[in-house]
Amino acid sequence: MLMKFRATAHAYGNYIDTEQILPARYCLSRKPEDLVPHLMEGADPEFAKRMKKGDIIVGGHGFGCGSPREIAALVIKWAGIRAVLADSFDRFFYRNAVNIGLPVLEVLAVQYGIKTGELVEVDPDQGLVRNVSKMRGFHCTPIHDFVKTLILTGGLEDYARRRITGGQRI
Amino acid sequence: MGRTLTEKILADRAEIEEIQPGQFILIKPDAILVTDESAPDAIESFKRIGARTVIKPDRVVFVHDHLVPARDAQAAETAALMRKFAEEQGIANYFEVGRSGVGHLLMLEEGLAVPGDVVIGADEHTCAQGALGLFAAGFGSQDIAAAWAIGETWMKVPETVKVELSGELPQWVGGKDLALKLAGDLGPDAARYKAIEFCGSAIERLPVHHRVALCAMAVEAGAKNAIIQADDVAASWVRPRARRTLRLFKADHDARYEETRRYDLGGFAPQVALAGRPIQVKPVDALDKVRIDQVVLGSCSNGMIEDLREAAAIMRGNKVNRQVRMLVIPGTSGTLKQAIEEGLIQTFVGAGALVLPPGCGPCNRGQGGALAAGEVAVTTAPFSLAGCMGDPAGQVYLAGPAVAAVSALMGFVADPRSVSI
Ligand code: SF4
Repeated sequence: MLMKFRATAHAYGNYIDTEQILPARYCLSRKPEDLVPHLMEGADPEFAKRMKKGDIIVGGHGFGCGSPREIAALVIKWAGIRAVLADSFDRFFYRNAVNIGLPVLEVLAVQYGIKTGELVEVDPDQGLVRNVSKMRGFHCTPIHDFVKTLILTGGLEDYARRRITGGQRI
Repeated sequence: MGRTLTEKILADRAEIEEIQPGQFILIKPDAILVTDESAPDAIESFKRIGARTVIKPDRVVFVHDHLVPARDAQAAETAALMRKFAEEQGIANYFEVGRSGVGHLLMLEEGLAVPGDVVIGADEHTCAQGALGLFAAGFGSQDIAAAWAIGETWMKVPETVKVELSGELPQWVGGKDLALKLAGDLGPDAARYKAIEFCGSAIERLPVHHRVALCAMAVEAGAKNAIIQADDVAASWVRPRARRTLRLFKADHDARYEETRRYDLGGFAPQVALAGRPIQVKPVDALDKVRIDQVVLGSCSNGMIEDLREAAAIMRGNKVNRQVRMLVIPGTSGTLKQAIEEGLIQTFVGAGALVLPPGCGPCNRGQGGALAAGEVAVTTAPFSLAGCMGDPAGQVYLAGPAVAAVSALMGFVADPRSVSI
């Protein structure tokens, strides 16, 4: 059961690509401390300074498009972002996020109903998103059991490890 | 309720009764393709999982295509890592430099991907393989490592967009031109995370290499996979080389498609697109004169023997324009061998082109053939990210083999229909 939670949003428009999420020039390093300060720099240079752990990112269509580098989703998780909500996700970004247990929710027209700084309540199990600051609600497909498993176990690698050692099949 | 081609294959391999778009399924892939560019991350992930043996190593295919031959010590280390892992895990389908080629073409030519299969590849353009009536899509390194470790991968069943092609394919127009036009019309959202199913009277007569070019660009529109029903043309092409029995699926007549788009090929013009996202596509004659510095013929989308034949027919007895560097990349070692036997390499070299080792060549900032700032290239590769051939300031036009060949002769992006060859 994924707990309902409240978080401050950082909102963006359509086609936030992996270059805006984490510019390629920083990708030579794989260390969180080198990368987290540059998160979202391509779209919002002030993001890293403004952001607090537990916040969420809100995007429009095609969030995470561009070159399918897995580090883009990883840096979002390393930074402590609780979830990413968007009208739609690039397929590779969506898979990479699910595989590392970063909650990603497709929420129709969410980009138009939430501004940066506003407080949002997210209930992944029920598929409910509410802009608390503006009393506006959105529906989305509730998070799927298998994705929940990956979020709770910490990702696909942990899930695979359990399958090999524990052998239980969900 | 009827099922689309993709839904049928996924339901069959996942052994489930019910299937509908949005559903999450666990599926055992029939083949797992890994290239020299993606192997290190997958092997690293496999180690992090703590797995020791690959389940069903006979399903795994290792190829050298992006960095052929190793251009520096780091690339050589990657290759060595792959070799060691393949030996340890008993991966027999290991294609060494000299016997390799672009992974997606090798899978088809070696019969390692056959109709009815589910193929996962550690490369964005795995969708190209859907040309032979199978499910094929690109996956991340963790998905590949997990598939090695537990023999399964998770998938979200996609919606399907149907694209119906009718009419006769005009001269100088091929699968790549159709793919470019479609990618331009679909834009970045219409096919995002969806399957594209091609059908129609024009498809039934379409030779396999045009089908591959048609499917290879699906990912440029954000699609998950592209697929063409394996009919007699595809089945007779693959039967002599197939390593597994073919399973010929057909979409149900009452299958539900999210959208249907129709194209009549009569009067269709060769297309060109300026690389970048979103892709900007236009008929070649609508382009004002664009001087070019380089032409690249090859790639997963247009590296088959028929593509080389089409370009050679234009270039025979002619010379590459003085200011142009033309790079010809046979898709696989088998294609190179055949191109030598048919005298195509003689034609290309005679015209002043440079023949590169089978593989991806300069596509995706890879091996040799980068562009300097401000230089312009025409390529038959499907990769449409700006800066995909070296310097981001370099301009890259995507086109089919006919436009590429005639442009190499003329020194600017030219229309094969208006040039007397
Ligand atoms: S030719 Fe280009 S697009 Fe095709 S697999 Fe190689 S790098 Fe990818």
